[in-house]
Amino acid sequence: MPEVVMSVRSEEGLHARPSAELVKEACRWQCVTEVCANGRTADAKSILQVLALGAKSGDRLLIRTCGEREEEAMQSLVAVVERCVGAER
Amino acid sequence: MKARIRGVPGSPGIAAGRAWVVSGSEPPKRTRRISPEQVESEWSAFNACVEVCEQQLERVSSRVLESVGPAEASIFEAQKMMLLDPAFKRSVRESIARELIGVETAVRQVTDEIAGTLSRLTDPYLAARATDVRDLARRILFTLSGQEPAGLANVPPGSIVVAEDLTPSDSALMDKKNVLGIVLELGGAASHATIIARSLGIPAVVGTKIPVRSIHSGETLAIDGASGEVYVDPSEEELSELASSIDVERYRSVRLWSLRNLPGLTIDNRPIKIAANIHSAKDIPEVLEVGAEAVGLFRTEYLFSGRACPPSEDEQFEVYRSVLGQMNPKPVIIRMLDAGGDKQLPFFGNSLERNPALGLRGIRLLLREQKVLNTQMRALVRAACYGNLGIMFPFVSGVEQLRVAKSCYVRAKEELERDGVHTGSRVDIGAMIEVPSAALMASALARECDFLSIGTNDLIQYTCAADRDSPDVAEHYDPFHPAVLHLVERVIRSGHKAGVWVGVCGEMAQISLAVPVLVGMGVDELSVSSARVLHTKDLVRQLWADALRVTVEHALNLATAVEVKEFLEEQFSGLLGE
Repeated sequence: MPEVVMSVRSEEGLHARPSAELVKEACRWQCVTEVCANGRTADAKSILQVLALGAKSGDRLLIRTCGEREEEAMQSLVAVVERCVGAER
Repeated sequence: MKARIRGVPGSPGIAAGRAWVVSGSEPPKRTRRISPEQVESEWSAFNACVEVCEQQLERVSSRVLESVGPAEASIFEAQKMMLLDPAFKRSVRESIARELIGVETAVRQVTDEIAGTLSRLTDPYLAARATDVRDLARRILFTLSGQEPAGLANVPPGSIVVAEDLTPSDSALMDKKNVLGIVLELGGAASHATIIARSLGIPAVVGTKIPVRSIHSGETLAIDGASGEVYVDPSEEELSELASSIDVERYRSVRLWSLRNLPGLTIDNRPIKIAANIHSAKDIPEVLEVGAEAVGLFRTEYLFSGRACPPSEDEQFEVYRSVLGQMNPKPVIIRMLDAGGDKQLPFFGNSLERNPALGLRGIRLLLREQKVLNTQMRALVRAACYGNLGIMFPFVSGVEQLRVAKSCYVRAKEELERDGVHTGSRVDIGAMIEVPSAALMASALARECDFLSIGTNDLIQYTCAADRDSPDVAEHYDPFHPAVLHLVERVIRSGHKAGVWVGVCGEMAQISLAVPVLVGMGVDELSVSSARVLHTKDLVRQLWADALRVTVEHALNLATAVEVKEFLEEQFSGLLGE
């Protein structure tokens, strides 16, 4: 079960557009995908839960995948997060 | 008459019709218990409903995309994503099965909880997403009860729409033929809904602060958008008095139409160009129909909004070429991207500034985003040979910015010439004057460009230090504040001294009472919404420019906005007939 910790760089944080990108990517994978921030855990396939994390600039995100092709899924999610909120590992 | 409500004048004109209260149509509320055997049928009812809502949202989204723009359409795309959210569906199923409640009760509970969580977030932008969730919940509940949320698309003929507030998409989706007038509890003279009403020519009264609940659907309402008055259930006598003013307006519109091919010219033969403000190439047919003599302001923000990355050079070039070509030989002033402040664009990774109105916006943002600036500049320079182009820089606050921006123009032109692209056409360069520092430095700015255009909305907001969208301080935002008049007069005088023309492209040019003042100050161009072009031309053609100089001098010596307005009303009551 791979896990990666990243921190949000973009000033707007996980707003609607980057959240939507993340969710769209997560929905492409069969395995369980999760994002944790601010002590809450969200199903990365749920836009409502991802928005409710309220992740702001500087917050740390923990991304977790578990199940079928979990490593590949993780790489694709990390890439989206890097692109959309300028996050760094 | 049952009551008279006083609000803020939103959009001028008189209208009488039946109230159509928007928030009055809440989906039916009920708590329904079910037996364990019914769980599956409730669940399939939910899934069937989701499918219907998905189709509705797709329809709304594509309609809004066509009639308003991509930014507003994306609101409905986001709602669709929430509708199809797997965690949302799971929660609904669990509630039905665990608590043995009907599907509508479950949807209400689950969405209330989600909206509650979102609204408690500290990030104001994310907290505002709760509105989307509630809006979606309304749609689902309506659909479950076998109705479609009415929205503003189904307003019956002869209606006065009454609402707490309208989103731009609400206002843009309404059927213009059926809506005679608008009454809003919130909002100020320059909020989004008001601006849309004004550009559609629909009378509106805003900021009434009276809860919309006190007005009932079906009640007769009469509104006077110029004075900001709403008459609830007026008597026959009052109605006929108002009706006669409506007839007068109709007569006026026939007479106005006859002016469309005449130039903007005062009695003493001073030409004052009556131009139109646009935000898309689609606006041009109407601009030409009403006989506007130029496009005084093409707001290019709409090209950029609601997308993941800025439009390419070729895409922009096609739009600019189309606008310039259709208007040719009439001049077109294209304002470079004016983003930031209250107009945030996602691809700039916008910051949550503590004070966006005083932050990174207009030319400041463009100079930081050099790539976007260069792409737009190249597209403009390439399009220049298809018509008569002026390029305007927004939110200039000092001469340095104008110099740097101009060097970008020169660089783009040189680059294109090196690539063998024809760029021979002359382009005028101008600065938008909307910040007090720019107004005070107008002489220096005018010496380095070809025209100045006064953006009054921001100039008033910054001069009076009043947010035009806040009902609490809307009264301090006053186009007739003597300080504003002094600044406008100074800009026009400084421009003429340096030999450049000066236009006004803000809302002030649309106020009948302000037109004689601007003409008296010597303004060369008034740029207004297409719906106001004929009216403004009519006013200008009744004015004696030379004689107005004395009027202006007197107005500039008055101490308060009220004194200025009283003086002007007394001077021009016969002319304005309002």
